[in-house]
Amino acid sequence: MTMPTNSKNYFDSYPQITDIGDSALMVVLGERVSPLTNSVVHTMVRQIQDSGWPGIREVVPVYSSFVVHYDPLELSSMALTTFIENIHGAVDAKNISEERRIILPTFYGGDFGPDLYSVGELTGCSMEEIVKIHTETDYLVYALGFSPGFPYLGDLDSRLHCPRLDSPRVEVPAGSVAIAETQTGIYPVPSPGGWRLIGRTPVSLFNPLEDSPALLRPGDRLRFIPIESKEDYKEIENRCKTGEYVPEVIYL
Amino acid sequence: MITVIQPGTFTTVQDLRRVGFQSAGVPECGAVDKFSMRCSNLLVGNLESEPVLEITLFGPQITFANPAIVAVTGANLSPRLDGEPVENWTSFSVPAGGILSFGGPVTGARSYLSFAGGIRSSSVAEVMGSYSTYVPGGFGGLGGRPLKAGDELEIGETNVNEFRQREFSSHPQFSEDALLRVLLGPQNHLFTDDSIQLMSDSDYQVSVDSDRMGIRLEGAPLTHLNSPDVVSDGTAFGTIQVPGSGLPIILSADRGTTGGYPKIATVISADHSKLGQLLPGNTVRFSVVSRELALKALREQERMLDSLRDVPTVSSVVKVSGQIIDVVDETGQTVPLDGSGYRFNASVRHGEHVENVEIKIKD
Repeated sequence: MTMPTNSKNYFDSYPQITDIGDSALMVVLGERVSPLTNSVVHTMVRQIQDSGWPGIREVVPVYSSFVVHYDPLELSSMALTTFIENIHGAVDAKNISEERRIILPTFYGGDFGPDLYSVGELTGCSMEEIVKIHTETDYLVYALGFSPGFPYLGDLDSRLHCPRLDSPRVEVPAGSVAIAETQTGIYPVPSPGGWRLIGRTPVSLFNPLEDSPALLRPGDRLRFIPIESKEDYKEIENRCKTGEYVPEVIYL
Repeated sequence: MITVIQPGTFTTVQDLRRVGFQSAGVPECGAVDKFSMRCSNLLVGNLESEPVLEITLFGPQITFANPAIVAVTGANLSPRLDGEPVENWTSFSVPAGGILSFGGPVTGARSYLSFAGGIRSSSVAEVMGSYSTYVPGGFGGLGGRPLKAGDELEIGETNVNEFRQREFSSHPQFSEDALLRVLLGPQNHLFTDDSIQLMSDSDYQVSVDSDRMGIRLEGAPLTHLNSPDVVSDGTAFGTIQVPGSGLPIILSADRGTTGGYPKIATVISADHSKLGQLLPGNTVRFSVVSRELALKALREQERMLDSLRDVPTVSSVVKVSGQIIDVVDETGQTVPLDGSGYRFNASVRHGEHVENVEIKIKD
């Protein structure tokens, strides 16, 4: 694996560390969305979280940046900036965090995927092709955001790129698998949403009462596998509720 | 125990914030006006992080089964005990059978009702380390929802005979015009220079579409240099993001953890309290300040709370045999050890050995 940090120009430009007000810092590691930059983000975030530095409240990774929330009465912006720069300088490929692959069964089409037809029209793909293309890639969980447990997944095969809905739905059902532009994602809880719904998973992605409320973690790989019938979907859904079914997790 | 007779417009259980789950997409939630919320707890002798009721606009009507000590801070929503007006920012005792009600908003938007001994209901459980209600997600507080008529909450037991009234005389005044001090960034470079000037020079009105997620403003639109979209990144309390319309939105407690609009500036911590008290139609003006000024204002605000808490004096903290050689504040500036200030880091020398200690000073 080649790290972006090997480039001299990269070190000249990044990290860009900026105040967000007086109690948070924005740390930008690149302008573009790339899996490599994203893995450096998650590696650094984990190191900062594990550092136990007093005054650091929370570290929040997104695509190519992260935010460090801190108590300015405990910790100065300058000291924290130096600390982050030092961690960045020492990042190397050996520190890249452990990766997991999670297998997520999904029923495509029908009333669970009401936009599968419009995606077909916009992309020129048949229903079977859409399902085949969507299930043949490992997606990277760049970050969780938008709503509790919602994974920003990339990168969607360019054959499936299509615009958001003209008018967002008022409520998207929990478990809906959706695509928009270059992205695909899953709505863990009911929420409004403008992405095109192509299927639904019976697996719960967010439970506020669990120690780890979100099933997915930033940096995970995710693979969808098709559920053949509504009966199979119902069976998995029931077994999820009783705890007999948990999605397969492979440590890479 | 207390029973809710009328729930009011929007009354929720909130503590300071939910920490550690933003990376799972969970907003931090918590009281919008944390200063008033903490003050409410301190007035009844609680830890300042105890959950309280956040009361918005028209307050609830609540009956108390047992004697209790309570305080109401923040907005003046005309609190009444058994029909008689009671003071904001002052603790008071409620007799068994007493009814607390609110006559309507006078100034500000949110009041904080604390109970000595806190809220002790099994129905109000910690979720992800916090009692704060997140209504869009349906979790936290009482069933993840605002209070409704008939709700019952256990509150801490307290000895009313030992009640000592406390008041907070130096409390903030909320008005219909708020001056919000901001630090520019993190993405002010994505706006035209004229827009930065325009933001400082303009009056903005608080829109009716404002809530615990954010305060939408109406007024002079700001102009992006290029596209109004950025790669989604993190947000903070008080961040001012500007979508394609050019109209600023100040992000608040229930904000999404990520956002894809450029962020022109961020309201300083010392002015977060004011954000919680803005009402639709209020006027907002922005003033760009330095980080040093923001920290000074925050320390001054913390010192105001010290009158309500028992802060160790400098002599009780620094019992070191060595000689204090250097005292610096958070910005790294050397400060005189003359008793002005709240918290310092000091370097203390014992012979060859230098030790760093924290000093807290009470006025």
